[in-house]
Amino acid sequence: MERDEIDLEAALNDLEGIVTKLEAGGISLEESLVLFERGMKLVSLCQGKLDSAEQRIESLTGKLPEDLAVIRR
Amino acid sequence: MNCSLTQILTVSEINERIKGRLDADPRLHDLWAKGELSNVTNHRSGHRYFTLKDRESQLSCVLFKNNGLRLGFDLKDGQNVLVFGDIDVYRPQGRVQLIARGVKLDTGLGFRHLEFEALKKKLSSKGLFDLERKRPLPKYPKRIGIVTSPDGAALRDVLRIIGPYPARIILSPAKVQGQGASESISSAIEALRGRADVVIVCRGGGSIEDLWCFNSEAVARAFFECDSPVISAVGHETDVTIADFVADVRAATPTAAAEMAVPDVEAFRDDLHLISTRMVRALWSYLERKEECLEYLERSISARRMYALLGEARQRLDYLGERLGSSEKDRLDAMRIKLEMLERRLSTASPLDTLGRGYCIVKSSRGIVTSAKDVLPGDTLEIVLADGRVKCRVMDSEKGEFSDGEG
Repeated sequence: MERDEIDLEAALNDLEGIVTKLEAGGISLEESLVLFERGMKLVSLCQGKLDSAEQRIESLTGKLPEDLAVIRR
Repeated sequence: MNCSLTQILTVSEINERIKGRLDADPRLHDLWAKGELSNVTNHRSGHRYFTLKDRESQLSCVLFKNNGLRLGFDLKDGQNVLVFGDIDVYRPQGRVQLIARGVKLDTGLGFRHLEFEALKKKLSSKGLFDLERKRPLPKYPKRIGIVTSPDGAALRDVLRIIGPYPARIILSPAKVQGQGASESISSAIEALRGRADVVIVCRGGGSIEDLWCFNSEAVARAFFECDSPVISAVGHETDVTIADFVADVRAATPTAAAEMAVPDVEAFRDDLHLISTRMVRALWSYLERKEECLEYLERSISARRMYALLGEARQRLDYLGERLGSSEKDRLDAMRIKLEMLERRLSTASPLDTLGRGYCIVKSSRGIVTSAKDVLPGDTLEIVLADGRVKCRVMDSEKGEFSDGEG
């Protein structure tokens, strides 16, 4: 999953599911680690997405005032 | 009535009665009168007298000095004005007149107001304002459409708020005041069809005339037909336009609209942090439960598999550790130490370790040999040593106490 493509809502839903499963227990160490790893990967993808420094703005007419070409946080 | 039918009254009494009637009628007080000025007279006392007329009729008016101080413009014949005040009778002359308390130039807003109300009624009857059709805003929009002037402060206000949130921002430029603005706004909304998850239509504050383009049927239709939820933010909180009634959500200002359109990024970060803490904690307590299990298994032979799993777990923890924040890293380090400890405890229980110290395991075709009675001369045995196996044949077996140095 590319950072730009990540769907925050879906990721958050996935994470909820993973945490619930991990907390419920009753799964093998193997499975726990797989879930944990996937969860941590999702967390870091989301964080990466939030950290992406540049905000892209595009105009349907193709023209943008200069101050808006790149919005920095 | 007991008195004579043809009651005789003095002129004063009649005017008094008329005044009484007029004073008692609330519709003749605090009213706005609309008409054209004529016979404007600026008296040296500071009071101003004029006549308000329309095509069929006229009305005498007086604006006393203290009421006319904050007028802001000169009264001139021919001006179209709105006059605020009360109807009274000037008894010395028996004249009904309007005592003005304020005069405004009539810029046609009276008509506009009627136009506004008529359009509102029409669109309401067609269901454009129905609450049932208001759509909820997406929680995590990926594409945010903005319809506004590229040069306006409203756009910058919106971008400042949604800046930290990662989404594609698609500006659909529109003319938001003056001639052709309504058409520009509606086609800018239309241009976003299929391109946005939520649309913000905004402009900053301005005069009623400036905002008037948001009171058109074309804009109302464009809002209504937009394929994603629309947030309207036109002017200031007190400015309400037809567009606001059709929008899925009305925001008081462009800034407020932006806040509604995107989730709070800091809250989102907090959620992520909480989730990773919960995952680490869950895995931690899982390992603790496994440790309890291990205590039972410590003396068991089948430690090899746990070994493999622990080794794998350690490797993964190493791998994950490289990609985590420091607080998660600390917890992972603690986990790693725990894993190492478990490994050490496993290894002391391992039979391989014991073999290394000179012991061996003897197996026959019937399993592990633990008694001299288990073997017969001629049996083939397998001896498991730390570093390999030996096959041998039994020559003799003898039951008895084991003593070092014998045989």
